[in-house]
This record gives sequence, C-alpha cells and structure tokens, in this order.
Amino acid sequence: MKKRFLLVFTLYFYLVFSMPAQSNAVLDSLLEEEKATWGKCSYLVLSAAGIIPEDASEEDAMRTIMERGWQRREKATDEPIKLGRYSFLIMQAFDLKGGIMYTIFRSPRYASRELGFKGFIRGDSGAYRTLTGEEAVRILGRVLEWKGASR
Amino acid sequence: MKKKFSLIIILFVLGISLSFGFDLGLSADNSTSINTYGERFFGHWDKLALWLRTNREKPLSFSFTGSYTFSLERPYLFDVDDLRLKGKFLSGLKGPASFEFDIGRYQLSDFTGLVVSHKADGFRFGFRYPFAYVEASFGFTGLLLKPNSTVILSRVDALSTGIDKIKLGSPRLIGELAVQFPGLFLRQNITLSALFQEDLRSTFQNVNTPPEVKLLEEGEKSYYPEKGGSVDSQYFGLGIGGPIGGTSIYYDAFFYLGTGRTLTYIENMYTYTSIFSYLTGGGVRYYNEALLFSTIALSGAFASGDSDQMTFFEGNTQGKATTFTPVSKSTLGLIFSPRLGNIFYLQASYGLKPLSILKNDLFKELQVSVKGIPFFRTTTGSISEAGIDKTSTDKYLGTEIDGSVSFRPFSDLGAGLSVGLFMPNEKVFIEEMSGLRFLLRLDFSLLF
Repeated sequence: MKKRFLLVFTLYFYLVFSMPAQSNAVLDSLLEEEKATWGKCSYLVLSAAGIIPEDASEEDAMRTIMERGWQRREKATDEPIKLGRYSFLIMQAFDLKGGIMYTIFRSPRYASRELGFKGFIRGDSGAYRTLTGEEAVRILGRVLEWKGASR
Repeated sequence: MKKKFSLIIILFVLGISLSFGFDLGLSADNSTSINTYGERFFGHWDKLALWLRTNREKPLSFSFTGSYTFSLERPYLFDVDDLRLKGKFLSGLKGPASFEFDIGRYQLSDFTGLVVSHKADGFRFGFRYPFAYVEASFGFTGLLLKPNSTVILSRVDALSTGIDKIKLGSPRLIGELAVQFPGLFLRQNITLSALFQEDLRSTFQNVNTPPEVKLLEEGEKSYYPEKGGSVDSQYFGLGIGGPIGGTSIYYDAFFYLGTGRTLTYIENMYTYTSIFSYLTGGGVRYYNEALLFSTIALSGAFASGDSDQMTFFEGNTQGKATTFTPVSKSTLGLIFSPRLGNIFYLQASYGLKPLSILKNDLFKELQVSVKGIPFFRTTTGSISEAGIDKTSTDKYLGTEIDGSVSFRPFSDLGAGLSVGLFMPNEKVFIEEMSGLRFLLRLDFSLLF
C-alpha cells in the first residue's frame, strides 16, 4: 500500500511539474474518477503533448481529437473512456511508433497492446476495458517519463 | 451454408466481444529446426491459436485459448490450451487478505516446477494472509490430448504414446497443498508442499482398452517385460530462498521426498513395492541491470536412482524402488532433456541484452543467452533416455551447450534462434548414439 502510494505520488508530481498549471485541477479531479472520462483524459493527454493550449477546455480537447480524426463518433465529456481509446489518444498525441498490426490498422485495439508491451500499462492491456482515473494518470506519467528519458 | 455458418459465428463472437468488453485475437507460432539425431533431420510445426479473455482487472475473469497445430508428424491437432474462470477477491479486516481461485484448464505447478508443471483440468484456490500464502490445487490429466501431455509415470503410460487408437493422456488425479511463508526471517521465503498423484487407469479400464495397455494385477506369475501396473506417488517438499545478505545475489534450495507404490516382479510374482526416493537441488543467480542487464546463474539438481532398475518406468527388480519419478517432464537442454530420475546435473548460464545501450528501441530488447549443462546418472540403473549401454558403469552422461538469441522488436512480432550441441560420453552410450548431436532452431511468433 505504501509502495503504491509512493508511486502515484511520484507520477503525480512528475505530471504536475511537466504540465501547464491549469491542468493540475483536471489532474486532481481525474485522480478521483472511478472510471476515467473522455473529457479529462483528452484534455490531459493533448495538453501534455502541447497540442492544445493550457487554458483550453475539455470540450476544446474533444473537438481537437474529432478534427484530427482520432475519434470518429462523438462522445460526451463525462462518458467513460476505454483503455484502447485512451492508449490510441496517447499514441497519436505523442506520435509513438507501434508494432506491425498498429502500423497497418492504426486502431485502439493495437494501441493498448503496444503500451502494454512498452510497460506503460501494467496488468491487463485489453482494449475494451475501462480504467480508473489513477490508472490513466499513471500511464500518462510513464509515457512522459519515458519521453523525457529517451530525448 | 458452411461458410454462412462460420461467418455468423465470427460475427457473434465479435459482437459479444465488443458488447461485453471481451478481448480476442489470434496468434501464430512457427518453429523450424534441423538436427543430427532422431528420426527426422528436418523438423517443423505451425500453431494457430484463437484466444479470448475478459477484463483481468475485475474480480472475476474468463479466458479461453483454442489452437490448431500442424507438424510433420501430424497434419492437424486441435486442442484447448486454456479454459479458465479466474477469481480474485480482497477480503475484510478479519480472515485472509485475499482469496483467489482458478477453475477449468490451468497450469498446475509445484514450487520448483520440477516435480509437476503441466496443464490439468480442475481447480486451484489460494488464501493470502499477511504471514503466509496457502494454496490447494487439484487436477485431472486424462482429458488432455496425448501429444500435448508429458505425464508419463508407468509402462502403460509409455506404451500408450505409441498406440494411435489412444487419443488422451494418462488419467491421473494430481493434488497439492502448499504453504509459503514470505520473508519469514532475513527476507527468506520458506515453502512447504505435499503433493500426490493417483493413477486412475484401473478405474477407466474397460472392455475397449487395447490388451497391450491393460494393467497387470498383483499376484500375476508370468513375466511380461513390456507391461506394468499402476504407479501412485506422493511428494513432500521443503524449499527456501531469498537474497544472500544485502546483496543482489539470490539463492534457492529445495528437497523433495518421494513415496508411493509400483509393481515389481520379485520371486516369480508381481507385487506392489514401496517407492522411497528423493530430489534435491538449488541455485544462485546474480542480476546486474547496469551491466547490460546481465544474469549469471548456477543451478543443479540431484534425483535419486536405483542400480537394480532395468527400465526407467517400473523397472525395479529388488527391494524398494528408489528412482525419483516426477509427474511431468521438465525441459533441461535443447537436445538432451532426461526426466528427473537417476539424474544429476549442473547448469551454468549467462544472459544479457547486448544492445540495451543503444538509443534505438527496436534493438534494445535483443537478448542473448548461453548455458552449459553436464549430466550424470546417480546410479548405473536406467535413465529415461534411449541409447544407454546397459553394460557401462560410467556415471558421466555428457555435456550440452546451448545458445539462444531472442528478439522481440514489436509487441506483435517475436523471433528466436537457438543452437544446441550435446557431447555424449562414448563410454555410456551405444555406438549409434555416441556421436555429437547438433540442433539449430528458428522460431517466429506473430500476434494479430
């Protein structure tokens, strides 16, 4: 339990210092979500990748991902996001390279598998499950940490 | 019609998958080898598997893997590799911290993996306490397909492997009760295990059983060199392991006492005699991430034998049967991999990721490993492998050196190249089997 707390704490501060100040409120409320939602996840990923400005809203983030074709069907900001979709957002936003199947199909299913393979997702990397806000933060934290280290 | 039906099934599974959060996919594995021993110079198999699983993060999850295998020996083999309902529940303040179970086809293993490590149909449940983990496992091996079963303990089991009419593996009931005490003192882990396997052939024997695999009865006076009876066994194990001092060197040591009964032809009559055997071993390993993820390991095991044992399975001819008989076969060398009975081996291995210093992610995970295993027999009695000169008295059997390179550049593609060389002791093996044995194997796996 102590170890788990320390890890979340470290990743939280990694994100806090590597992201715009306005994002911290979203980060706080995302951490409390039992099922991570589209709005907060999109905002957090896109602002961490520098795609949207820090004063953008969750709606702006959703609009951006629709415009870019990363999500075709419109989603409500408070709708739970599936792990595959969240992984796909991260892969697209940070322009991460994937495996053979991801390169061919560019789909959420292979995005979560790729993040699992790289160790960013711990445990089940099945695309069709939901994730908690804490897990979403951890995944993004590991991606940012890895991006920082491989720079 | 058939095509339409297949399409409906595919759409149905896909629909279920998307609606209920199932994940499903395909995997393809391919292995090609050339060797200088055995019946075939060239070996090849392909395996296509369909897997399906629900969210494993939930307390209850379900998984299924069905596969089709093509090999040069057999054009088709359909099997269920995994069919499991898995549960994991955290409990309240009183009682165990967690309770977990598996029901279905799962991997049943003892704490060393050397006595039994095999798929079985049954159930397993475990209770995790702050000071201990208690686990009970039960499994039946008679529903496994014969080519995928390495559960062979008797002559009838061994004979059945060559009879096409018999499709299923040895019908045995396996049970284990294990208690692990993690970090009991100085970060040392202690494990206690009691394991049994019961031969159920006599229960399943009927009028349709081929005569050559019918069990011999106790009291039978005629001698049958090929036939045998039931083999039941029990194993009582103790293991200890953990870090040595404050270093990053880890060790483990174990001891198993084997008991049971086996049919023996003594004084012109078949009688059940006791098994009294043992298996002991251990190892040390050192891991250094800074040194190209190096792992250096030394290990070994000593499995008791019986000098009056004429054949490996039920070969006892005098007194107690003292050859250790594991339930399933473990893989030791790529080429020479005897069952752990009447065997002593030492293994030294070194593995590293030589390209881990590169910035390029593609090659970072390339792994190279090499190992050397000298094999000995513990008595001049029989071992499980063929080609031993019965008149020889040497204990040294030979040395195997294996090397492998494994490369997984992407999440969905893996490749491996393995090379093995076995140098048999000419004084122990018969002339036709005493030459150098070589194997080169190339493996690919693709995940869809």
